[in-house]
Amino acid sequence: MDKILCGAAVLVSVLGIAFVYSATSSLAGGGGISALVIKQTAWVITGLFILLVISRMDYLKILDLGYAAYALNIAALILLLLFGGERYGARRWITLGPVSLQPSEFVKITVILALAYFLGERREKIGSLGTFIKALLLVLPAALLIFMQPDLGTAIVLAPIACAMLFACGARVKHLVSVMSLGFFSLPVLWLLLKDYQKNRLLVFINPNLDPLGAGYTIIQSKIAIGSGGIFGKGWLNGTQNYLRFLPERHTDFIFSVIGEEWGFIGAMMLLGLYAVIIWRGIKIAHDVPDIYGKAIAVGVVTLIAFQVIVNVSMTIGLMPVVGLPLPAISYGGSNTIVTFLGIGLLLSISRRVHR
Amino acid sequence: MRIRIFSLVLGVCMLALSAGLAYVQVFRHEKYRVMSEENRLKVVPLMAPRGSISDRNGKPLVKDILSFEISVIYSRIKNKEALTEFLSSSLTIPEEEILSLLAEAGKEPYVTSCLAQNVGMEKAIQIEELSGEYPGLFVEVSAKREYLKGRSAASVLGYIGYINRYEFDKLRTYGYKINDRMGRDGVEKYYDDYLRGRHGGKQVEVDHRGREVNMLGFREPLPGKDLRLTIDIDLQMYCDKLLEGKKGVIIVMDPNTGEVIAMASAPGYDPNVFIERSGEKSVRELLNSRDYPLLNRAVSGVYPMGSVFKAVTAIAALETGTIVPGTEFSCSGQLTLGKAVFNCWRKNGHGTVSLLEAIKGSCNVYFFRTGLLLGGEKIAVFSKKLGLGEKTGIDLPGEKEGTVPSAAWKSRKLNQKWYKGDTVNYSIGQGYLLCSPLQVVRMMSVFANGGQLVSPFLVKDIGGVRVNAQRSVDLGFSRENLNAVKEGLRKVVNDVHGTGMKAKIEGIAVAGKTGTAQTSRKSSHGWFSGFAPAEDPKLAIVVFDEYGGRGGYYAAETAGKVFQRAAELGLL
Repeated sequence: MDKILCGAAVLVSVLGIAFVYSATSSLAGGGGISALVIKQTAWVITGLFILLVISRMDYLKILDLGYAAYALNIAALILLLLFGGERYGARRWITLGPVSLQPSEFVKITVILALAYFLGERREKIGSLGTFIKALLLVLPAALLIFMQPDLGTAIVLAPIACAMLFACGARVKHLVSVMSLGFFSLPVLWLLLKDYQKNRLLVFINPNLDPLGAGYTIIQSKIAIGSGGIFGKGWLNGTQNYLRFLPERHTDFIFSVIGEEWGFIGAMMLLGLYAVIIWRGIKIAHDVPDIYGKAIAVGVVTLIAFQVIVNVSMTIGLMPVVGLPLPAISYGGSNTIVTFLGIGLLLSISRRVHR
Repeated sequence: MRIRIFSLVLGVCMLALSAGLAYVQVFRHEKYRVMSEENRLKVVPLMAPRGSISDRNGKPLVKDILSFEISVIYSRIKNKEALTEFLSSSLTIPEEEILSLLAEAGKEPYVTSCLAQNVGMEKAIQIEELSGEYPGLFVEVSAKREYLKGRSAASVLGYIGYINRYEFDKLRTYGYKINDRMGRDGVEKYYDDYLRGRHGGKQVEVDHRGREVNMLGFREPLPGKDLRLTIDIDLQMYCDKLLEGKKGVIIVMDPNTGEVIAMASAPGYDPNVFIERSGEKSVRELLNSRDYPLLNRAVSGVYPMGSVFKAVTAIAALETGTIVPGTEFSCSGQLTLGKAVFNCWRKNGHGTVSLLEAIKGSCNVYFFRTGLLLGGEKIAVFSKKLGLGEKTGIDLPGEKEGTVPSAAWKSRKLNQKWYKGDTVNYSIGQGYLLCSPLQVVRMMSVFANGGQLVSPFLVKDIGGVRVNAQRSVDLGFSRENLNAVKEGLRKVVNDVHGTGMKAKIEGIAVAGKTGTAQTSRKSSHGWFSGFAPAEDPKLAIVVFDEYGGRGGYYAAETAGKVFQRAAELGLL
C-alpha cells in the first residue's frame, strides 16, 4: 500500500479539522468548539475508516457494482428533484435524521466507477465514435439532473473527469477536441439556462464591483483575507477577516481564504504541496497499474481531486468565477469528505495491485 | 504516453495557481494588509426609496420621508467621555442614559448600533458636521413611511411591516434584504413589487476618520414606482368621516369604467401605528380587537344583502319572460307555503302591485311569487351573471367570493335537498346568499350602465404608465327590461312612499334599492345601493351598515349625503 499517499491524505484531513475550527470559532462565540467542528471530525473519522476498508478490498470487485451504484445514485437524484425540500434555494440534500447527504457529491465517485467499467469492457473499441458517444451518454443524465438542482459546480466537474478518463484510456483526440468545441459553442445556450444568481456570479467574476454587496462582496473579501496573510500569515485563529465575520461561507467553499490569511503564502503552498503529493502518487499509480480498469479509476479520482483544488483556490483569489466547489477533505461538508476518502481509498486499493 | 501528457497538464495548472497565489500574497500583500487591518472597508447599503401613492388628482397620500438616526460602531470609538458629553448636550439626553445606550452598543462592537431615532433634521445636520471629531459616530438616514391622511383610506392603502425570517428565506432570491419593509395589506401589498424598487449599495474604502476615500464598487438603487389611485381623497375622507364610530362600508364607483372613487371600511385604523416604535401597543390592540378593524369589509366581508337582491330577481324574471312589468300580484302581508308562513315587512301588505310598485315599496310577497315562478336554479344563474359568487378581480388582497346557493350547492355543502322555502328566501336576498359590498355595487352598476358587468379597480397608473384595466362584459339584457328595473329603482328614492326616500337630494335624481338583511342576531344589516343621476349615471354607491337596522334609514340617508358631497366636488 502506498504509504506516502496515505500519509498525505491523513495530514490533509487533520489540517482540515484545524482550519474548520478556526473558521467556525467566531460562530461558537470566541473560542469554544462549535458543533460544526465536531461534525467535521466525525466525518473525517468515518472517511478515514472507509478509506481503510476500501483500500483493503479488491477494486475490481467494487467495479462490478459500478453500474448498480450509478443507477441508484441517479434514482436518488430524481427523487430529490421531485420531492426534495429546498434549502438555500436549491434541492441538494437528503436528510436522514441528523445526517444530510448530498447525492450530487456521491455522483462524483459513482460516475467514475460506471465509466471505468464501461471503458474497460470496451477497451478494444475506444477509438470508435460509437463507443465515445455512448460513454458521454452514460455521464449525461447525472450531469443534467445535478444542473437542474441547481448545482452548477458539481455538474461542471463531471466534464473534466469524463474527458480525462476517456483520454487516458485511448479515445481519439479528434473526438475529444470536437466534443470540447461543441461544448464551447453551446455556451450561449447554456447561459440562457442559468438562473439569475448563477449569471450574476459569472458577470461578477469579470467585474466584482458589479455587485459589491452580493456575489462581488465575497470575492473582494476573500482576496483581502488571502492577500493580507502575506508570506507568513497572521497565525492560527488570528484571521481578523475571519473573526470579524467579513468572509461569508468561510468554513465551506471559502475555507482556503482562512488558510491563506492565517498561514500566509508559506502555509498555502505547503497545503498545495500536500495536494500535489496526493496527485503525484495518484498519477504514478495510474501509470504503473497494468489493467485498464485501474487506470481509468485512478485517472478519474486524480482529476476529481485536482480539478476541485484548482477551481476552489482560483475562486478564492479571483482567477475563476464562484461556482461552489469545495476543497476536498478540508471544506466542511460530510458528503464531499466521504467521497474524497472513498476516492483515495480506491487509489490505495489499486496501488496494492501495482506493487505485486 | 497519455498519462504523461495528463500529468503535464495538471502540473501547468498547479503552477499557474501558485503564481496567482504568489501575486496576491506576496506582490500585492501591502495593499490587502492595509485594507484588512485598518477596517478600511465599509459596505453601505443604499436603500431604494419606496414608491409613493397619490389619489386620482395627484394629491399625495403615502410617502417615504427622511428619518435620521444617530448610531455608533463601538469598536471605533476613541474617546468615550467626550462622545458621551457631546451626545448628551446635542440630543438633550442625560449622560447616564447615553452611557447605558453605549453599553448596549458595546455588546456588538463591530456592528452599527442605533442610539437615537427620529432625530430632527437640524439636529442631525449639526451632529453630522461634528461627527469627524468623534470616530465611531454616524448619522444614518433612512426612509420612513408616512400615511399623510391618517385613518382615511386605510382599507385601500394597507400598511407595511418588516419582513420576517420565514418570508425572507422564501423571498431572498427576489431581492429582498433582511431589513426590508414589505406591504402587508391593501395596495401596499398588492403592488409591493412595483413599489419596492431595487436596493443598491456601495463598497467604499474609508480613511481613519471614516470618510470615503475610494469607491470600490457601486450599484445604483432603483426607486420604486409611484402609484396613482382612482380614489378621490376629498370624497374618500367624507365617507370615512360618515362611518366614524360605526361598523360598515361605503363604496363609490364609476359604473361605466369600474374606477373606485371611494372605499371606506369601518372600524378602520391608522397605518402610521405600524411605522412608529411607539405604536406597538396600538398594533396589538388592533390585532386583538373583536371588531376586526384590520378587516377590509368592502372586499373581505361577505353578508346577506336582503332586499337589494330584488333587482336581480326582477331582471331575471323579465329576461326569462316569467313576468312582464305589468304583471301584478296581490300582497296581503304574508305568503303561505304549505305549513310555512313568509311575511312581508309591511304587516298589512301592499295590496295589488305591479313590478315597479313592488320595487318601490320593496314588497316581499311580490318577489316571493315571482321567485317561485322562476325557480331557484334560474335565480342562481342570474346571480352568477351579475358577478355574485365570484371575485371581482379588484387589485386588493384578501377578496372573498361569497356564496351563490343552488340545488347542487346545497346538496354538496349541506347534504340537503332544495326546498321551495329556500327559493322564497332567495328571491328576497335572504337564505344562504352571501356577498361582499363590492359585489353589490358592481351588480347595481349593471342597471346604471345599460347592462355591462364592469371590473372594479383601484390603480390608475403605475410610474406614470396608464394601467388600462377597463374591462366590461355585455350581459345581453334587453334595453326595455333594464329600463323597467331602473325606473323602479328611481321610484324607490324619488316617489312618496318609496323605501329609499331618505336618499333623495336636491336637483339630482338618485336611484337605488334599500335592503334590510336579517341576521342570526337580533339586529339586521342595513343596505342601500344605487346610482346618480338616474338618467345618465356617473357614480354608483353601496352603503353597508353592519347590524345597523333598517336600510331605509341610516344607509339610504348616508348615500344621499355622499351624492350631495360628490355633486359639490363636481364629480356628478
